[in-house]
Amino acid sequence: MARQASSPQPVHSALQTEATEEPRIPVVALAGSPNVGKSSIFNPLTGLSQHVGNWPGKTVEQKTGVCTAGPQRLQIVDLPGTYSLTANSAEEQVTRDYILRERPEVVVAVVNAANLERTLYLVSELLELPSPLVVALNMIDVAASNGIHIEPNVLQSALGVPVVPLVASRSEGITDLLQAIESLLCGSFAYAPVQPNLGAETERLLARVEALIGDAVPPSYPKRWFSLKLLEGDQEASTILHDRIDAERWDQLQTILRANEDAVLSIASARYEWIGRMVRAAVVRPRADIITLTERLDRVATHTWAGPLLLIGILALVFWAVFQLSGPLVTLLEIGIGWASDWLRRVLVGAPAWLVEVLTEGVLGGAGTVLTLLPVLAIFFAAIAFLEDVGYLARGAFIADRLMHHMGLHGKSFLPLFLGFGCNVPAVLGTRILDSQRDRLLTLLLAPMVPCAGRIVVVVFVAGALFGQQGALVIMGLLILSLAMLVLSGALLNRLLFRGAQPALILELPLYHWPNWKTIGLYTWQRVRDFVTRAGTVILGLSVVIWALAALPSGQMETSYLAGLGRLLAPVGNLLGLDWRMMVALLASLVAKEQTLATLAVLTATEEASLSAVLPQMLSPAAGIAFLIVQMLFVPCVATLTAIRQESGSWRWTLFSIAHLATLSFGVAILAYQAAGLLGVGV
Amino acid sequence: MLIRLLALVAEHKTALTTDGLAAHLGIQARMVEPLLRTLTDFGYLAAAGQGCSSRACAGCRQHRSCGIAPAARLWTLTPKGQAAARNQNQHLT
Repeated sequence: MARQASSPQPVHSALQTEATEEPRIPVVALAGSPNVGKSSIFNPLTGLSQHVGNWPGKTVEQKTGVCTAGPQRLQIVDLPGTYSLTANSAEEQVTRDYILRERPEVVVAVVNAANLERTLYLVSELLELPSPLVVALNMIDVAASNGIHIEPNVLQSALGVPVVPLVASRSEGITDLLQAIESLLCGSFAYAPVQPNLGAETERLLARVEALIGDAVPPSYPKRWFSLKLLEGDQEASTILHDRIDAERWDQLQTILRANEDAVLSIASARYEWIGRMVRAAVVRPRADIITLTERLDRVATHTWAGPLLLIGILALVFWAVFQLSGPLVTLLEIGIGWASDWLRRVLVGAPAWLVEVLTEGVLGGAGTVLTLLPVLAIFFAAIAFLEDVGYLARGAFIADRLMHHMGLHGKSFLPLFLGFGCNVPAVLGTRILDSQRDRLLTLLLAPMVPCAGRIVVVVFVAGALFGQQGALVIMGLLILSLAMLVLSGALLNRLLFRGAQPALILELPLYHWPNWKTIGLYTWQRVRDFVTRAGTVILGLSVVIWALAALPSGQMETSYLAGLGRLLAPVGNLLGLDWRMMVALLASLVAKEQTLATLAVLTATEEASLSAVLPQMLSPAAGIAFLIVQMLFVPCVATLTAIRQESGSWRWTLFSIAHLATLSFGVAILAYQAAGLLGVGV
Repeated sequence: MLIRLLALVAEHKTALTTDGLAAHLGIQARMVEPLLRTLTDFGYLAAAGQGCSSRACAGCRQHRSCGIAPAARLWTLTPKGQAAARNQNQHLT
């Protein structure tokens, strides 16, 4: 089912210029999609005679040159790389304008033999233009190495145009290409292009449009091609015609186009069906039943129930590895901070007492304690970067998509939400990629519920200090609780405030591959550097302020300003089994999540014991769990709240987010603590 | 082929992979990417998930360090795509 051109194209018509009657050099244009090897053909054809400039009025590179290798001199023009001629980009515009207006004597369509499906669409469009076509079947060696065997003769018969196999990177087949060009120029090839059959309905529609626009089509454009472009909704064709047609016919045309606004789908479908037929005719592929490694792995990774189990297992493994590997390193750094503190006290003998205290308890106790968490962050980010680099994260998005639908969202929202594992601020800003206001709002209200690296650092530290080897299980439980609350909140918000459903999305899963350690290292380094910068600025500054508030006005912590503030929170703290210092630490997390530990380090500072040793004396297991639950679900840091205000454009939604998270975190934590009390567990 | 693809995405409740789409449509997996590109060119699909390389993130202060590169390329139906799929489904019923 293909349409043969109504008559052979006149090949020699433009070989002589009207003004001089001197034979002009035939022009050969190279067209093809990006990275298909056009330059590898252009270079050996033109050698040193190349001229590089820009296309008139465009910033698109123009390369021309003269070929003297064949029986006659040829002007070679390297057209910009394009996949089609839809004029969506400057490259497509240049390519189609050049072929239509300059009418090169021959167009060479360079296609990728290893991926014909991807590159034949342009050929299907070029066949509809007046310049004769040669198909250069490049990368035939790559196709062979992939087990793809192509029959150029079969493809040539099917297309009705010369087809030349090439390995342009090794200049193989260039001579054959020149011979094919020559055969078109001298008329020795029976040029009979077989164009896609667009179907009876589209052909009738085309005939109506052609009859209507009649002689209004500029002479340089073939009427059929111009009519096709109008049916495809081509803006340029529409603009050109608007100035050349009377109002009545214009209105009639618009009525036809409006009634057939999806005709482009039929036209493009016909082209793809034509491509399918060409490929089936000329290409022999490796056996379809050979299963690749990626397909084997994906049978599990994307399976309906095995996929989610694997995702949970991988996340559990990540947090177990973070917990187990970072523990000894954190202890070493704590010892280092302790030594630094002792050394400072010895060096500063004779200095004012307040200066010694601010440096040892404020700076080293606060920001220094946060720095001991570097191994936790480094291992966490390295694990995430590893999963992304080997290609697993895309499968995670695919599995998460099912959960997203329960919240009236689709997997597109997974991307900003996933960023939340690093930091909630980019997660909120990332909601910009979502199309509707409803999706954006719902996603940004949920984004702070993803446990960011700051929260994870605090949770890993506190769980390790309180629960020892069982800490990994506690962390996993908290993570599941946090994500369950996210899904539950999403489902409720969707049901109560944002009613709606989303159509599915299409995901391209990358192939699994070995990790690139340099990429993983670079990503981890960038994140760790950001963390150190924050510890050295915001956290350090606030640690000193908290030290001051805990010391002023009398020098006694129990009567300090901070203790006064903490006692205001005592009624809530009592419900959770937390003293005022723990409540102040939770409040301090509004500045930055890591500030919780810095604040605790300042408020519990002793010369004898580190924070990890002090915590089990301050908290019962039940109170510890309550504290960790609040930490996981609490109101995000100020930077995230600012981002929510900015992205939602509303104080109302920002306050709603604060109220929602404060209620949820304290509500769930109080419930857990009180339930433990009633059951007599861990109190 | 393209209309069937749009209708399939509109009807589906959860994400479709490009391989899954190929199986549903009975075509080679390598044919799906050009189909998606064409539908994107004509405004029926919107590409997303380009992470920090997308226009949306271009002016963002966190542009360089906001984290993970795009985990996957993904596409969603635009309102035009949804309307075309709806028309197709109405036509079929």
